[in-house]
Amino acid sequence: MKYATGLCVSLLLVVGLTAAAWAGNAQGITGSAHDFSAQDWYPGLASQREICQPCHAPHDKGRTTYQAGLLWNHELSSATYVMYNNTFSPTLNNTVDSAPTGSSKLCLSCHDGTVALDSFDGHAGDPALLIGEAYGNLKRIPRAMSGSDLDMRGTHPISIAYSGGDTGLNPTTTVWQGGGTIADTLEDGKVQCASCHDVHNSSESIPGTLLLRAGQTDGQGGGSRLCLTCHNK
Amino acid sequence: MKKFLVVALAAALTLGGVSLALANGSAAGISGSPHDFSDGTIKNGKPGATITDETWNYRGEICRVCHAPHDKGRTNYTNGLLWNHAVSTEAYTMYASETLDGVTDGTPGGNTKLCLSCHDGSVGLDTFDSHAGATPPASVDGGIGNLANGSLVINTDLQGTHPVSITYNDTADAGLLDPATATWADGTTVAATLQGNKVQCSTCHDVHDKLSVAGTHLLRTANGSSNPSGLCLTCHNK
Ligand code: HEC
Ligand code: HEC
Ligand code: HEC
Ligand code: HEC
Ligand code: HEC
Ligand code: HEC
Ligand code: HEC
Ligand code: HEC
Repeated sequence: MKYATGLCVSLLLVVGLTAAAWAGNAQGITGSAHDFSAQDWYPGLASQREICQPCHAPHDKGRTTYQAGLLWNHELSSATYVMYNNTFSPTLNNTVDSAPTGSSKLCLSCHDGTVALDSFDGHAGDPALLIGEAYGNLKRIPRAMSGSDLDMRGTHPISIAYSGGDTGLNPTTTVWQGGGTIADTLEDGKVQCASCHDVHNSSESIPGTLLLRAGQTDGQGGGSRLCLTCHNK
Repeated sequence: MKKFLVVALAAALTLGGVSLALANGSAAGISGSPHDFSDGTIKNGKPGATITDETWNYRGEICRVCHAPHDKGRTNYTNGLLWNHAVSTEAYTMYASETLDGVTDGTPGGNTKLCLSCHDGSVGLDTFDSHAGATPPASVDGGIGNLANGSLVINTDLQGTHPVSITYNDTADAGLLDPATATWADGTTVAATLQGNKVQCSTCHDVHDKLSVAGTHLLRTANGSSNPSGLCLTCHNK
């Protein structure tokens, strides 16, 4: 297996662009994928670029994005989505919201590729700064379209209750590789983007992964460990 | 688990070149099972296999060969279940017979289509993510899971395979037991393993080797001498 992992790593290096351009180091948000304080596209004076500001602001200043919670400071997406639900997948047991909810809406405010990255703090965004344009389509979640709607059926179900009819899931007291329980990473009992990803690149994420709460290969702690933390397969 | 593999391997070596219909299910979950392509171990090796390791699984993950959490602009997800493997484009001859009461789809549907994306032998095992995959039949015929001469081959002629993508019609066919009360070894009902009331590959097999019986080919109820034809008798009132 060591051999196989080694081979994979060298393959990845050779294949180059298909591999992640940046991976987390669990050392906190500073210098991580979500630290935009050194980016030229950050509006305003270079000397006044912050880390948290593109996402959170301490005062509403008459703007309304705060209503999404967590002192949200980034323009939200008004796209419409086709959800991964029981109509699409009859074996899906648990209740899914009819549109993304909770903190998934916050991630999608950049990642669905419809809102400019610099649309925060009341700044009118530059249309050239959509995530797909500025950072490549790999960072666009979801990529798929269904007519004019964004198609979430190619993305792991989100805004879905963890508990319900599905008996193939581990108890919510199960501990993530990076620490904390599954329950800690659910929101109102629901799986959201943040259940798998740690946007702040904290010590709860696994170095070398795409900000994941558990590794996915033997070298990172076990084959498909992220998936197997929740799914009892 | 490791021990079991070693024993199985030794048995395989002893039996030598003949047909090795070893049943590799352990019912301990997908890790280490025949569908774990990250552990470097081939479980159902057949004579003449040219695939001798699992380095073709270039990502080293378990689920990813079949499922991926994001579509990344690929279209296999439209097959459902976040499917991440290329599916077969073969045409099949479906099972037909005079005495059949259920309705068979014109082409394999539902989960059966997912299994056939590897088991009909037409698609390279490594055709997942955006990976182009080796050109079959070289990779697959000579390989594992679908050997040209091995018993794992399921050809595009599905008349030699138990009917799949067929409705379970226990009203018209009095020889079928009530799926709502017929149960598998783990207690789940047959009804719960039908898909849109149809029998699929996954009705008899648990691909994740979790709800299956140890020592079988990932079957939901044993069928061998420990429980002679117990699987068949779960549905057929014979
Ligand atoms: C790229 C956007 C982004 C940046 C930058 C960002 N956050 Fe967050 N933050 C989020 C999102 C999304 C959530 C909700 C999901 C979650 O909790 O992981 C969140 C949640 C939080 C929470 C509440 C949940 C918790 O973990 O306690 C706090 C507090 C927080 N962030 C503080 C900060 C601080 C302080 C900074 C800057 C040092 C920062 N964030 C930078 C996006 C961001
Ligand atoms: C302010 C916009 C913004 C928000 C909000 C945001 N992201 Fe990102 N995210 C980005 C950008 C831009 C990148 C690409 C950074 C790069 O490649 O340097 C990125 C990268 C990522 C990556 C890949 C990291 C890597 O190693 O390449 C993940 C995973 C991710 N984001 C998840 C999330 C999740 C989950 C949330 C919500 C909890 C979220 N993001 C919220 C803008 C955002
Ligand atoms: C069930 C777990 C899970 C959920 C939920 C999830 N992701 Fe991911 N995500 C992953 C895994 C695993 C990867 C790395 C493998 C891959 O890229 O396919 C990933 C990769 C990513 C990347 C990096 C893509 C790249 O190649 O650079 C981004 C960005 C991202 N996710 C954002 C999101 C957003 C936004 C959401 C919510 C809409 C979300 N994720 C929900 C598991 C998840
Ligand atoms: C935070 C917990 C969590 C993690 C991590 C997770 N899942 Fe899930 N997954 C769920 C829940 C909850 C459901 C909904 C189950 C249901 O309602 O039947 C689900 C549903 C699914 C489904 C759809 C099932 C259906 O019947 O349509 C698939 C496929 C899946 N997950 C695969 C994966 C894979 C592959 C990974 C790893 C990349 C993963 N999951 C990681 C919680 C998780
Ligand atoms: C990604 C390709 C792939 C998919 C999809 C797939 N299989 Fe397999 N399967 C294989 C390979 C390869 C083997 C042989 C593995 C080995 O010998 O190590 C195998 C082995 C098996 C075996 C033999 C187990 C044993 O005892 O050794 C059974 C039964 C089986 N598969 C059933 C299924 C069913 C049913 C499905 C769909 C629900 C399915 N497979 C989907 C590739 C696949
Ligand atoms: C060899 C291919 C293969 C691999 C590897 C695989 N699956 Fe599956 N999976 C399938 C097929 C085929 C189905 C549909 C048939 C079924 O439900 O048994 C399925 C169904 C599912 C479902 C939905 C049905 C249910 O049981 O809730 C989930 C969730 C799931 N898989 C998760 C996973 C996770 C998590 C992993 C990795 C730990 C994984 N699978 C690895 C082929 C695979
Ligand atoms: C009615 C139940 C039933 C259905 C439906 C079914 N199988 Fe099987 N399968 C069995 C039994 C019983 C065995 C073990 C006996 C044998 O080897 O012939 C088996 C064996 C296998 C094996 C292992 C063969 C070996 O000798 O290594 C594979 C692979 C397999 N099945 C795949 C499939 C696929 C793919 C489908 C769907 C196209 C499918 N099965 C549908 C009952 C079923
Ligand atoms: C999940 C339930 C189920 C299991 C298990 C099962 N069968 Fe069937 N079988 C069916 C159904 C449904 C049909 C279609 C009957 C019909 O419509 O007339 C069928 C059809 C058949 C037929 C074709 C009958 C005809 O009229 O052409 C044969 C032969 C058969 N099964 C034998 C077996 C054997 C042998 C086994 C064990 C290896 C088995 N079955 C296991 C459900 C099952």
